[in-house]
Amino acid sequence: MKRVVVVGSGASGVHFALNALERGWAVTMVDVGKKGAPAVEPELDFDSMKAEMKDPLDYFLGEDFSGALLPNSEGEYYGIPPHKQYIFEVPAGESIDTRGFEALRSYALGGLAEAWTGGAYPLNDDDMAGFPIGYKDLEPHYSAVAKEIGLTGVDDDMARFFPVQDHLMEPVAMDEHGEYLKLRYEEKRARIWSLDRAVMGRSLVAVLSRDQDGREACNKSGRCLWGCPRKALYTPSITLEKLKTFERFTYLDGRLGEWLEVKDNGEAEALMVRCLGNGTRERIEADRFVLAAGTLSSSRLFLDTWRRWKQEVVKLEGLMDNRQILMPFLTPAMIGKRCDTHNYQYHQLMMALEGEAPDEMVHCQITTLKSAQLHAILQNAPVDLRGALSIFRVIRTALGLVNINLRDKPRKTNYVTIEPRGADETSKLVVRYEPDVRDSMRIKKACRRVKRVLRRLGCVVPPGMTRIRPMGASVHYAGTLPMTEEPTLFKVGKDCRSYDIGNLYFADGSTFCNLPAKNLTYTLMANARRIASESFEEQVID
Amino acid sequence: MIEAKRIFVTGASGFIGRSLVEQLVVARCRDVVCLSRHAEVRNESWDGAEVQWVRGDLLRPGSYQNKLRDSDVVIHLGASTGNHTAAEYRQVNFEGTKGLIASCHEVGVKRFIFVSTVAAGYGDLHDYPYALAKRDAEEAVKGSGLEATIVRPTLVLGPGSRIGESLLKFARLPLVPVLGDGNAMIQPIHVDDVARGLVELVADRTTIGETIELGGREVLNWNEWFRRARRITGKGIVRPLHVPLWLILPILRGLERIAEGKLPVTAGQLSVFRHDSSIEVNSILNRIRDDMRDVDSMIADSMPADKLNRSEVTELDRECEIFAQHLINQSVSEYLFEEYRRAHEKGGPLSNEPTSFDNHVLRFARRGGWRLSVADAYARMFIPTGILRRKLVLAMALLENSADGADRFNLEKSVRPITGMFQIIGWGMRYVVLLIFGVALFGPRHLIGGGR
Repeated sequence: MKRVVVVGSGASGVHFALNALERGWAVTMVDVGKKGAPAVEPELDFDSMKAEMKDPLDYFLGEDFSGALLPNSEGEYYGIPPHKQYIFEVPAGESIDTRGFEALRSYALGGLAEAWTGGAYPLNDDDMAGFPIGYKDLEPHYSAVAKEIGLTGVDDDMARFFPVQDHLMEPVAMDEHGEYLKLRYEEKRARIWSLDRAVMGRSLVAVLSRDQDGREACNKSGRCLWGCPRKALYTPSITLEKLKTFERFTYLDGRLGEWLEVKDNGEAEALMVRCLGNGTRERIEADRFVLAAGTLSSSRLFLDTWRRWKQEVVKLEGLMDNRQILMPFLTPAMIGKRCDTHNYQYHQLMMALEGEAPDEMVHCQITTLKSAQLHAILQNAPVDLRGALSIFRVIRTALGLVNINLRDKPRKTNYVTIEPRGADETSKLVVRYEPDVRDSMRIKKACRRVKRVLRRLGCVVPPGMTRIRPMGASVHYAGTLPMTEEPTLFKVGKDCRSYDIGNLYFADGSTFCNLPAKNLTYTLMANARRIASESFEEQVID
Repeated sequence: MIEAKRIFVTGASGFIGRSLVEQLVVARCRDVVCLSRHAEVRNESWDGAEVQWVRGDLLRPGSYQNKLRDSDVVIHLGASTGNHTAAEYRQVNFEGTKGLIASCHEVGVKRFIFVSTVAAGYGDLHDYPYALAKRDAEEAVKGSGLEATIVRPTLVLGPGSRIGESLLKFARLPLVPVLGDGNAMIQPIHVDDVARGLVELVADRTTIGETIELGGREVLNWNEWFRRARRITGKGIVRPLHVPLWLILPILRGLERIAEGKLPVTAGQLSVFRHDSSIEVNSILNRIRDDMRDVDSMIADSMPADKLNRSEVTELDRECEIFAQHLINQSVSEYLFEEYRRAHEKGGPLSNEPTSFDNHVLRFARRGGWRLSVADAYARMFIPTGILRRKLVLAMALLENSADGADRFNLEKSVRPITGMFQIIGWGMRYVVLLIFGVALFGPRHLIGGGR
């Protein structure tokens, strides 16, 4: 029986591990594995939590009130709730130097997808231009993952850009505002397509509309943003629980993967890890190694390995991220409606704008979120706070947010490298990003087009409220060790096996050859599964 | 006796309700079930007493019926007060009472104390939908077959009395407008005395089937009331400015047709200036009379928090209360005060060093009312990250995430989009006017000495 070491317990890591275990491999997962608090008051809905919890402010704003976004603090329209902050906590000793890029890393059990919004978007052949693999290679894995995690969606106009998967559940019912927008779209779809080259439809969302594997269907408690207590919304920690039921699975948490020891024959022999509790080092041997720690952390581990092996510090070029733009809008027909928070809170509708080239598609998620932190929004209104609150009550149901995603392509100016520190320390990660010169033009054009479609749907975009998020904020990092068919230094094969170290695989976003305007999490899961099933031969289980 | 009874109180978090629960605990009642749509009221002196809070709504008997079972006495205080439409008053004050009566029959509760209003006894109620709904509810109670007592308090004053606060606002103006000739008689009562009267009633079966009026020790007219209010609030005595009711009432009635439920005061509420509201003596009053509060202390107690100088109320508590009043038009609980203080201890709004001008605006805003509105508007435009805004946003964050204010971030019920648009325009225009005032008030000082 062969053993594989997986670094990271995020979306890529757990789906790789699940498939490898099913194929008879022994899997050791190395993870920092920061844990969140268990779900509180699972039977309460969003409104009654505030009314009935003993100390609701402790939950919603945090013990230190860090969840209260005061003027001058750097807040987002919807930030990360206090009890989810652990997802972004960085262990002591890890340092980073960035320019032009707000780099977020996660050392949490389940990784960044513990805070995702459930959008699961398969790539099509246009998106995968430049990849040595195509949609066909991923198709069975997309379907298998859909079944595993529970994916809701329908076959509608979006199929033009998003191939339809098997095993889709019925979507969770939409709120009144979403239904209204959908109806308006249906009335105008021919015009919207012919004039704006845009389509709208239901999002593909990893939330259960019926019970599955001990998880309960969404009961519209409105708590999505705050952490679903029923596990209706999928997160990788759910799969990690399943992994733990295999005897051949070992989960080593509290450990940070530092570098691989490589033998003269170019194969890795062991992973060196630092135990965060006592600072000691461990050496973990295996037949194969899979890095699934996320593009930045996997790159850092590879760079440190290379430095120790070849005594050379190199750059990994091609770092990508989706530029995101948040555009709040208002639907006048919904003004004056009492707000109902009993809904699935993240995006249930999406929109795609056809690009000039096939890989230039712009993807928009439309959220009619009701349970965000309102004080964070209200302080941005162009009137006094009292007036803002009174107006907000009236328009709460009518508010929506479009999250516009733009594609990215690998460029030499954007790279990851390291700055070595003491002999016994992990290196400092260095990230450099310069946006494309045409970036601002593309942003303006996309905003203009989205506004036009919104107007046709009967919505208004208030001036001055649209926000361009900094690079790095979408956390869709990719592209530092891309797939290619020609063996090349610092690249991987179509099986995601390193050309530099024979028994090393990359299962996360680092192997992407370009980054279409689609949340990559679902593809990470499908691709990780593909790597396991195509390259990890079945083992005889004794 | 009362110690052994389970008492079910509706409207328990309201003005009279809070005091009643307190008095029940004082009277050693060990089992109180409190129905409220809002927050649980916490009070350390209740430790050990069985005070249970049920979140429910009079309009949905299903939300409370389970807890009503096994109760011995119902004290029904829950009602719509303030500014609502006639339909809303009827819905809550009449239909809600009928629903409660039906529920009592269903679960077998017999003793029923209904708190109405002295205004239900005024002759003509056609423009006073609140009192009309109460009168109809009284009829429903009388015909219910329950062992019912109806209680009609007069003008109730005390901490948190909205009407008391409004009257005091008028009393403190440079010229005191008194509606009508000011000769109508009143007999105000302190909220704690109403509560003590209700506690007396619980054990008193002789009042079944009767209507008991509750008023204070002193009878006086409005002119006298305003004179005393000015004295106690430290304002000089001035001759009241009599505003004829025949002038005001038709205008109010006309406006009500257009903006029902939106006006700060209604024609009906002004009937208190036309009708005598003094009452007959009764057995309950006789029992509590000796310990009753006098009018002067009622006035002092009714002063809004920002006018108070009580030592136990810290500056931050007052600020929190004033900001909450400004933002959501509602008082807040001790829990919110504590959290507001704690947030300040953690740095929060104070983390930026305020300029002297920032502090000047904050001091001005702390006086509440129109001053705070003007400061809020000015700060939005000219000092958006200053100390006042940081404190107001903090207060908003606390209100939004706690039972004290979460409800106020949503509409009570839907309105038509066009009505909503007009409201938005109205708030927008209000902002512009406030801003102009703000510029006139703060502009010069900001320009001259705005720096550090």
